[in-house]
Amino acid sequence: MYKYPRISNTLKIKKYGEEEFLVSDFLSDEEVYMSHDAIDFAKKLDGHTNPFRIRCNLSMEEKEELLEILDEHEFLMYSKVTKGGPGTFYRALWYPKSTIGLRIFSSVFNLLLMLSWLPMLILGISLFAKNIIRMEFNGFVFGFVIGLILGTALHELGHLFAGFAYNAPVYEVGVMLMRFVIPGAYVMADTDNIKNRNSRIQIDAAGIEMNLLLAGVSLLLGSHFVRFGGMFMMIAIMNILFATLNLTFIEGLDGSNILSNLFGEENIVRYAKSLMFNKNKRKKLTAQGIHGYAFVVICYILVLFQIAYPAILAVNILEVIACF
Amino acid sequence: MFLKKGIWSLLIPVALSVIGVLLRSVPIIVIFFFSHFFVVGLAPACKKHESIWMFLLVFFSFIPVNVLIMIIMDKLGMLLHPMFILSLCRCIFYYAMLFSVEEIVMGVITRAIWKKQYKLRLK
Repeated sequence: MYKYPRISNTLKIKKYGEEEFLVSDFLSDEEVYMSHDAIDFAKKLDGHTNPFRIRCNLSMEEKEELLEILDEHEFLMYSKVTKGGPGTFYRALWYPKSTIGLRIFSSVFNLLLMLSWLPMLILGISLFAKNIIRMEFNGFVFGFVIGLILGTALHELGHLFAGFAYNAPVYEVGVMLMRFVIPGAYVMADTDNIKNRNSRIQIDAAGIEMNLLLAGVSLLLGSHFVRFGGMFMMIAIMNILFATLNLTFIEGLDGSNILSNLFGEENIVRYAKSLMFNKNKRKKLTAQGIHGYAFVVICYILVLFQIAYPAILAVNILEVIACF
Repeated sequence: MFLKKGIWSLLIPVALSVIGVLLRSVPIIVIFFFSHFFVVGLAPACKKHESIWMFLLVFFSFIPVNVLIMIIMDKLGMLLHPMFILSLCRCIFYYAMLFSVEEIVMGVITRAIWKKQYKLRLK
């Protein structure tokens, strides 16, 4: 918990007119117009300083009024943990600042990632298969743990560098808990301002590419250090599983974001769900002819595939139960 | 000429997929993969909405291929489990993965080939 309110990290400030600024929240899309002095005050709300002791051009009454407005629009944070959907919690660990050096490094990194993941994976698989007879299969548990941690961390790193490479504002990096049970990590980046569709797709796909690159590198190392073959194979399996899991069209995962970009929708799965419960929307779409009907069928397919989510959960839980 | 007639030409990849899987023929499966682009590119019904039709086509045409992959996975012992519900969940899980990977790969290639497409909008 913060001692005092802290200004949300996901705010976008745009100049509007001579003296006013338009402040909007990336997450909630809430908007409010503020003066330069009010923004100056809001920026100083760091969670540790008493708002009424902040030095600025506002009176006590104005500060109180402004705090109420900010609170009303949910621009203030009172805890380090933010609530997402039902049973989903986010905990920010790092608020990255975009610098020229970081952007150049990210561009180079992203380019190398795009060029190297597939050759590395093919090379890794072929060399591992060649040396599989000499392999010693031990260290599976260690490989599982390493694969899980490295896979999660590097997946998010891939998104982070791709975001910086294409000049997307990256608000925060942190850990999360989905539906009370599934732990994970996240990078909160705003890709709305990026005009190029391929760049947006690359930001979403970078995490998956990173996992496949890691799988390739692990297999390559496994083929060289045959004594630890089992461990490296497990790291590779975990990362391939991680990559394919992220490619599924479950809402919020990278696969659904890539698909949304391919279709030019903001959130294709949410759109499909809303279409299922709205007869009028469906009618309007089908009135557009055969393409409309095709799109409605796609929406049905996407909603149908949302059952994969509880299936994945059930596999995870039942596998653990089955062990005992 | 058959391709020019329109929507029925979309059945060509489906037929190729069934034949390729039944005969276990790799060349037919390779032809099946590339046939998607020819069919979507040539059928007038798909013009300027290639992504939508490719998604739909891949969903149906890849079913035999996915079933074959699932059979191979079953033989490798990746699906069967004494608990029936767990076997079922694993099947759904792996099928969803295969389906998503295929759709995304085909979708990205489709977008790369046909960059300008119309978007369906609710009026």
